[in-house]
Amino acid sequence: MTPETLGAASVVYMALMFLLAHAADRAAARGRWRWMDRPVIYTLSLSVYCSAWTFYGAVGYATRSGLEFLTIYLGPGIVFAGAWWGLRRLVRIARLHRVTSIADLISSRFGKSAGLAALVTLIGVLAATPYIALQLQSVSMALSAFASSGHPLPGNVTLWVAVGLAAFAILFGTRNLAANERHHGVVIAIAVEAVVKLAAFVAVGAYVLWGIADGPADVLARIDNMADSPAGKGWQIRPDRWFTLILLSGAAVMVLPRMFHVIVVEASDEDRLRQAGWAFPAYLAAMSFLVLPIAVVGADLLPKGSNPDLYVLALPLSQGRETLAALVFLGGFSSAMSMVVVSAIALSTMMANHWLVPLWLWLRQAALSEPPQSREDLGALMLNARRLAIVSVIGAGWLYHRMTGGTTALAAMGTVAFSGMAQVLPAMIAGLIWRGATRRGAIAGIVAGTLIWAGTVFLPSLGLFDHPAMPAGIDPFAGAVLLALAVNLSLLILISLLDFPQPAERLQSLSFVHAIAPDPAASDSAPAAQAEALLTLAGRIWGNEHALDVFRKASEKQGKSGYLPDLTPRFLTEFERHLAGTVGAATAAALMTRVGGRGGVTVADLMEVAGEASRAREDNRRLELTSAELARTAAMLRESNEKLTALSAQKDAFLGQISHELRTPMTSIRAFSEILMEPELPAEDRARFAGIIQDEAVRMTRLLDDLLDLSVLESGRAQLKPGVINLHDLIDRALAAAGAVAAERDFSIRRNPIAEHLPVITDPDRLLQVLINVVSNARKYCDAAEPVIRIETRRTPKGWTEIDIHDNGSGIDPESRALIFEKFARLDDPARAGGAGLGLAICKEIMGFLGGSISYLPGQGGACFRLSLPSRPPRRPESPDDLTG
Amino acid sequence: MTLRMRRLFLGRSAYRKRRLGDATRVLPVLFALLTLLPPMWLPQYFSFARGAVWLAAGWALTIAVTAGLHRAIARSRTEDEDDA
Repeated sequence: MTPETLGAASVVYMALMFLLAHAADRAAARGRWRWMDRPVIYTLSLSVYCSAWTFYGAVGYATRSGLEFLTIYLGPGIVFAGAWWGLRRLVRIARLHRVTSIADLISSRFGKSAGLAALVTLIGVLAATPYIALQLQSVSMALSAFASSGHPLPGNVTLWVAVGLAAFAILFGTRNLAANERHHGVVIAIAVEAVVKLAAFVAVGAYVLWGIADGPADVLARIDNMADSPAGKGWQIRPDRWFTLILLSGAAVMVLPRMFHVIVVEASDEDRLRQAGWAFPAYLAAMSFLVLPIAVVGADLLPKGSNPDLYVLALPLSQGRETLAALVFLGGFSSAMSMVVVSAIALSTMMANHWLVPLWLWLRQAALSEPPQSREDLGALMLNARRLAIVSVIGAGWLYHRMTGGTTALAAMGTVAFSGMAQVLPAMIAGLIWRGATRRGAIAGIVAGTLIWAGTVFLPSLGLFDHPAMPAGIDPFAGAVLLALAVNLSLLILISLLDFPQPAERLQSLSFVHAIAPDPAASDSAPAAQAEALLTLAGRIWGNEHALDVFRKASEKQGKSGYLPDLTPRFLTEFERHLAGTVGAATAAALMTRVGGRGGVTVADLMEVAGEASRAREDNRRLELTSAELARTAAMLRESNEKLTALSAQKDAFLGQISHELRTPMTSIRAFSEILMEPELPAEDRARFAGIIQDEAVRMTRLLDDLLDLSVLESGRAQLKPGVINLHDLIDRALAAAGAVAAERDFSIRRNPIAEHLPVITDPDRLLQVLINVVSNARKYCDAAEPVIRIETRRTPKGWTEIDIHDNGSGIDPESRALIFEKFARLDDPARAGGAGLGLAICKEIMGFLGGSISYLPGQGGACFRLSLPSRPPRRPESPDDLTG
Repeated sequence: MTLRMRRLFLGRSAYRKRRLGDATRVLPVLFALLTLLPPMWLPQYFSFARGAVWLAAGWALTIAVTAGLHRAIARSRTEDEDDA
């Protein structure tokens, strides 16, 4: 087997994972995620902890340092033994605050501090570079194990590995901006890779254990023999390292960005920790105890001087087991690939949310609530920021690999990463259990700890500094790490004790330490924000569909119809949290201040929530529940009352209007018919007058037809004539028919012909009537200098068909929106409209009759109507008397 | 809101559930002691085969107990859903 074949195999393997992830993403988008959303998938996805370090490095580590390699797995073992108590709390709090990363968690806890988020992100990136370098190095090392001695590998293999992994991470991590940062496709791919690497490792382990050695007893005997060999000196456990490494690995499983991502962010509920709590340690134990036979048998059989990091490949190769070695290579590749991809996704989210977007916000002072002028879209900006971040993270890993020369023992690189990320641990733990921990304390602790780590561990690992001199008998690494953590923790405690935090921070600390939902800021008097501005902002981040959906649900909850809820403190708080799920808490808070005009929390607000006056609050809550119900009913009543009052006024006006509309043709018909009675009228005048009478009669008939149509629809006596129609053809016909309206203006029509070819089962004539009406309205009322009509069609996952008709005019004012679908309603002057104001009322009745709906979408930068149709029209009892027939 | 008055006495099932919760807190501490103390105290005894067997047995036991505890917690949760 040559390195070329294996390289090709890994490309094919990567393509397979790609297809799998793609299929899973598609299934999730169609709402078929549930069957994949199982605890076992979650547990398997945690195995991203076992990177190439475990696969290759652990054997090398065990060969050099004996049982010490186990510390890397014992730490997570301890943490997961208490999963139901510790991790579950972490997951619950993080989900409560819709946390997107470890940096977001810490920043959110300490008053949504943007600075702290940026700092933690920096540590994450620094610590990840040696770790990613480790993965790249392991893949190229593994390939070189297969190279025959005459043909060394080309030097840039690592670069190509880096490029391939970056492409995979970009393709999967940044396809869309999820509102909750979950990546279903990637999770499924990681779960499958977890199985591949376990299978490969178990295969080689079992082969060595029973195929080469003589079972467990033989391996234990060989371990004891190590005590007498010269290599056995390294096997002696050093208590300081033993303790430090267990501490570090226990920390790493929680604070490494990729572990935080799979444990916390991808968890759909906390209940799955019940299975992961024992199954993940079982996975780790299986992987780690198989390391021992490979290490001792390798040390016994393989020639002195061979790289122990490669024993896992060299052992089967030395016995001529090429297929087994190839399987092992794929397992190792899997472990490197899943680590790099998940790390890149987690870190890029952090870099984009905490570095690039705040920078962009700071640079750009334009109001974000304005509808985008050039369709420049915040979501796309965020995605590009993440792509850039992925490339730079993996690039930095490659650079680290180049700088260290690619010869370092794998495990040594891994421990550098662990000890860096562990500087975040004191702030995280203190933030979750101690309300007194403050932002300044956290910053001081993290900064000091990180500086000590950088000076004594990180830079020396690059060869830039010497390792620090420690008193005799103390291990330099363990000493440096314990010193950094001790300084970190002491500063955190000391400064927190002296500090007096801001109100906003105290609110967050209460919410985190007691795991209770963050309270809506108590007195947000008359928020200046317009709901529509917030909707526009949300639309720019999440895309229109999702934003409209969130707003519609919120306004339903308040008992209102339409898309614009009242800006209650509760809604604003929920909205901010939802936003934080995409851009992080600090950025979301900044956006809300900018767009929503929501100021910071005041001390008065704090008084409201502080003190845990639980009894009073409990009563309050109960009252609130009953009054919320009342308020909903009242809101509904108020809305209908307002509508009724307005309608009643309009109805009076309409009666006048309709009498007028009927009287005007009537008067001219009467006048001209009197003239016609004159005997000596010239023939051409007679013809002309007869023509006028005819036209006026037609106008009257049309008005009466409309009224009749409406009454038939309203009484439910209309008959449905369903048929299958291509939406594209129907829209063609509607545009042609409506073309006569305002024919002198030059409208540009934007359509997507490919998306329009949707078969629809409905009553085609009725739907056509609605389309003509809406398009004619757009032509009539669009007041833009260069009028544009945009038509978008789509099929929703539930099988509904949606047709959006936009124009770029000034739209309809918020006050009038509730009335446009009522009969007798007509905005502005009747002369321009030239109808009786029944058009949209008829449309609404028809859409209801077809089982669908028509609605006005606010915040689209012009008028926009959405027609929704079900997959098939509702069944109705046949009505015997067909009035229309 | 989870801030509420604590009840003084609990029924048998709720009481049992609380104790199961306690057990999940004790377990990681026990496992940590088991992995940390012997190797640090007597490194010469635990550096080779004896240490490997000790850690393997200890870990396997911890995993089994965790699995049992989590199972029991799941059962007690479905049982008292009615009076929740």
